[in-house]
Amino acid sequence: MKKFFSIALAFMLMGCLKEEPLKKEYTSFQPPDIGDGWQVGSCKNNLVDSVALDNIYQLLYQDDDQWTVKSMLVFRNGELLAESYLKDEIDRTRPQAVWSCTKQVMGLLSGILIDQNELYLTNILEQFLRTYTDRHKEKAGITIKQLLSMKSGIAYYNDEHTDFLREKRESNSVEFILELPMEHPPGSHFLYKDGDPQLLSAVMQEVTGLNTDVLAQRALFSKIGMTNYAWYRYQDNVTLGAFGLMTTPRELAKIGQLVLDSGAKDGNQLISEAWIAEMLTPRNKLAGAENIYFGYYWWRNVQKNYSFMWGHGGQFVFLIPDKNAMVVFTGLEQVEGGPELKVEEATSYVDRIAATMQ
Amino acid sequence: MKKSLLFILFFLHLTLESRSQDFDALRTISTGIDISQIKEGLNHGLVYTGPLFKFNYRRSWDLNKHTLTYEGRFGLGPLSTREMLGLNFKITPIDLSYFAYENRKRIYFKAGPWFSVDYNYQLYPNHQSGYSFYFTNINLGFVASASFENDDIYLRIRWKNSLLGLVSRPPIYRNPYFFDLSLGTYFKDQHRTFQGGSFNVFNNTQAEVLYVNPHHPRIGFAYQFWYFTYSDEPSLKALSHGISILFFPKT
Repeated sequence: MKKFFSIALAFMLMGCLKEEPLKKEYTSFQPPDIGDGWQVGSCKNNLVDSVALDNIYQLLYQDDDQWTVKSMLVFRNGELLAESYLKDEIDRTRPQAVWSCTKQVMGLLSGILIDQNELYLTNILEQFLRTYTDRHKEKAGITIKQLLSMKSGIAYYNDEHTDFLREKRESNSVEFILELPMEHPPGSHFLYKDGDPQLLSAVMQEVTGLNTDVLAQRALFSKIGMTNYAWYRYQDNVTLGAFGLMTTPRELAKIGQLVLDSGAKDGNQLISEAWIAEMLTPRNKLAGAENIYFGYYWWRNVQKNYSFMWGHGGQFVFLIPDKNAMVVFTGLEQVEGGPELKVEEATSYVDRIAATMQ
Repeated sequence: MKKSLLFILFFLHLTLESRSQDFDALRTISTGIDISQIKEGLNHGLVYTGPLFKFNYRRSWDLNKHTLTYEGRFGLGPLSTREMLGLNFKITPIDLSYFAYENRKRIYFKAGPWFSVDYNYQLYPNHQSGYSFYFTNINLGFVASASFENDDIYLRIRWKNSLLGLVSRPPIYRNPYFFDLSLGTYFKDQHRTFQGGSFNVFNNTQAEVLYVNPHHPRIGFAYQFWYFTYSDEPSLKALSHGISILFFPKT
């Protein structure tokens, strides 16, 4: 008997599957010019210490905890200085889910409509979604400002309710959200949630008569040269407002650059400086995180003066206005919780990158 | 693999002088635990590992130099890698072996065709959000068995290997925003996009070493090995080593 179990144990120890390398070998951060609208610049001309920057890339590659990171890109003065794709070079041009970075695009689209006086922060849901609010009268007075600052008061919890939408268990996303009970009076309580941007997307479609993704294409993406993307709609034909955008790190950076340039592109003011400033104004503190605040769908580290886009799975676009610079991270799209690049870790890398810039 | 063969030869040598007795022609209920590893091609090279708690029912019919054996298996267990959890579910509703053998001696061999239907289903909620992963294998192969006994030991080594069959794998998805975990979808998915092939597409190897003390013939112990590979995209490797306790009820 003992012999049997000993031999069985020997068999068990003999064979096991081995994990593959989770990152490719680091070679260089030098980006190629692929004709996507980004001008490739040199570290030297942009006063960046290339040796120190190279060390940061090496550190990222050696950091076994950061195995989910897919890319890190560094921009300064409107030029792409450095990029590396840790998993696969194809990630340079293959769109991926950027999750809640979609919300930051919604913030910009809101500004475009507000600039054009098609939408006002004081508008209420009843003005656009009356067929729904007639059935859910307690939500009729929710304002656009409350939707933009996640203060609708609706008891929508991402952990619980977003999967209903992702599994398409509800035929109508707007009805599903508005059916949920009110937990707080509108405007009184900040709760980060996917329900408010989805309602905002429905409002935008009522205002413009266009799907939100079509509006984005016409009013924003085409103006900044962003072509490599997809944006999904729900089955009720409302474009997903809280997530749903798929794009590449370089394309995502075009959105960041527009904000870094205060809404201007090639001399054209696409979005007013006033809206950009209002959108980035910190309004609600993120619970459990120091110095991180939420504006109109944009995040801000008030201590370091970084504004940033932030999507599930470690998708970030950090704006560093003091250096006229930007850092983009993308990560594995489907990672939840523990292994993803966390905001504190990403900020730490951004700090080090900023320190390489004169 | 060479080491495995050496162990088998070692067992053969140990039992060369044994008398023959067949524990195949019995109804067997067994339970045990596997250490399972799954290297799912869509998981970026990660290997998920975990215990699989399994239950097995086996029934054989002895038909004058022929034996028909039916097995059904069910297993469930957690998987983990890099602080991420997964769920592993395995069911084999049909596993049929048909043996032909010569008159029993102290040591005797049997061989024949083998047919099985395997369903394997995994969830990686921390890593793959709502998506489910699966591999279904309908397989025709061969089984070979060697058995031997003396007063103190009964041993049987059994080897099963696929020759040709069908494999169903999930498609490589590009839209991570929507998913469907309904039971109907799960059942439907497991039976579509079958790809036929032989060793160029997949391999399914199972081995078992059974030990019974003839003085306690109602209970046996088995070491079980399983190795499955699928070479097309999304590729897959699954490996398990396990130990089971077998009960031979009185018939």
